[in-house]
Amino acid sequence: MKNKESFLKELQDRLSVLEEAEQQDILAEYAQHIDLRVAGGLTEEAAIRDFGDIDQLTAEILSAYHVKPTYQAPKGKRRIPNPWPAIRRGTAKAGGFFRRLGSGIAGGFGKLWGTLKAWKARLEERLGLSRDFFEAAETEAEKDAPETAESAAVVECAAEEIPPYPGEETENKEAVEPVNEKKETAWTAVGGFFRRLGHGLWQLCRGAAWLAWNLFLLLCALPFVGLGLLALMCLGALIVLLTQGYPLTGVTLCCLGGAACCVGILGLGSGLIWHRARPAAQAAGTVFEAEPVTALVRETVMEVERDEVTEDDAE
Amino acid sequence: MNAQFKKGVLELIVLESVRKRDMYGYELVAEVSKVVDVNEGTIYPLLKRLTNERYFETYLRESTEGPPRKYYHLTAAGVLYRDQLEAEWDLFQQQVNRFLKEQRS
Repeated sequence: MKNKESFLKELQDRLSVLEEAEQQDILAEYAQHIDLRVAGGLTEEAAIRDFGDIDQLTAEILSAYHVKPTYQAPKGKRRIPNPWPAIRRGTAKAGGFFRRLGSGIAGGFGKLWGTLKAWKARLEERLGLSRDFFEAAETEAEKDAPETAESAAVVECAAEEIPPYPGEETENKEAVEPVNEKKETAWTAVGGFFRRLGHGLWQLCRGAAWLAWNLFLLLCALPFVGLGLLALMCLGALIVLLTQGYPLTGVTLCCLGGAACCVGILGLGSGLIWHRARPAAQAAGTVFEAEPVTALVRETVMEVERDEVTEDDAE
Repeated sequence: MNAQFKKGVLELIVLESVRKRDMYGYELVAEVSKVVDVNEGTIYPLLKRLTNERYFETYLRESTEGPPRKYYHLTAAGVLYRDQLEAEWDLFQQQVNRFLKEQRS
């Protein structure tokens, strides 16, 4: 029922608590004994039977090493004698990798930040240039306006001929408005109102989009936060188990990787939030910059109303 | 024979067998089996224990047939231990015999 191989295999399994060399020493001796018995005319089976009950045999062998005879190695699993060197190696490697990865990511973000800054500077430069130009045109128009309507019309034409800078379209029109005020007063008031309404709606839409995007990001981030916390908890439990000698090095490293992944994804997500927050800040800036213009429009509207009142009085 | 009797005296028989000349496992089992009926499952673990306790030392020697054999050699500590065991055995069996004789008479 039992041959030499299966006997030796079972014996080795039961002696797995011993050092490999010691196991081999014992197994070689027993194998040789069986061989000699077989050479002496016995069957393998009978030779093995003479070793008696394998439980008792194992217990006696282990007691020779002062190992508790009732000790049984976890079935199907080899005990890892000392997991720490492997863990140290693994963490050292992982540490090096993450350091390299981190510096790589930091370098990438640094570059991105640099390009964004350069863009912003260039944009501001262009905006500043065009604004200066329009401001100059405006002051010129104001200077000319009292003199003749024709010159105002000329300036108007000149202003309209200038191809409006895409981002500055509203500003451009608003800048031109003071010139038009005397000719199309009611029309300007209505236009200003609608423009303000449109601007407000646009700001509202932008704010809503910003809020929706950030909420969406938050929603996306929540599962990762949960997973990360879970991974950290598992990592703690696994480390405790590892110190007790369970062969869980691989699972622990997986957990560590999962936690690191979650942190990395959250980091990337926070980068996205930051990207969205910048346009919002810029919008706030333009609103602030645009305020003098709207104030100007409001003033002109009030002036127009006053003029209307005086005209009515005159009539 | 009573397993408990055997167990107690087996160490002495094994030590005494190896004292005369170095032996390998199979030989030793055959030698001991002449005195007491005992199986390999008892002898080999005993040899391992006595080796771990430095009463035996082992070496490999080539054999004409098959792989090299592991020979057991009695150390000085082994000799002292054997002598102590023999003295204990003598005293023990004398006491038991005396008691049995007294009971009989």
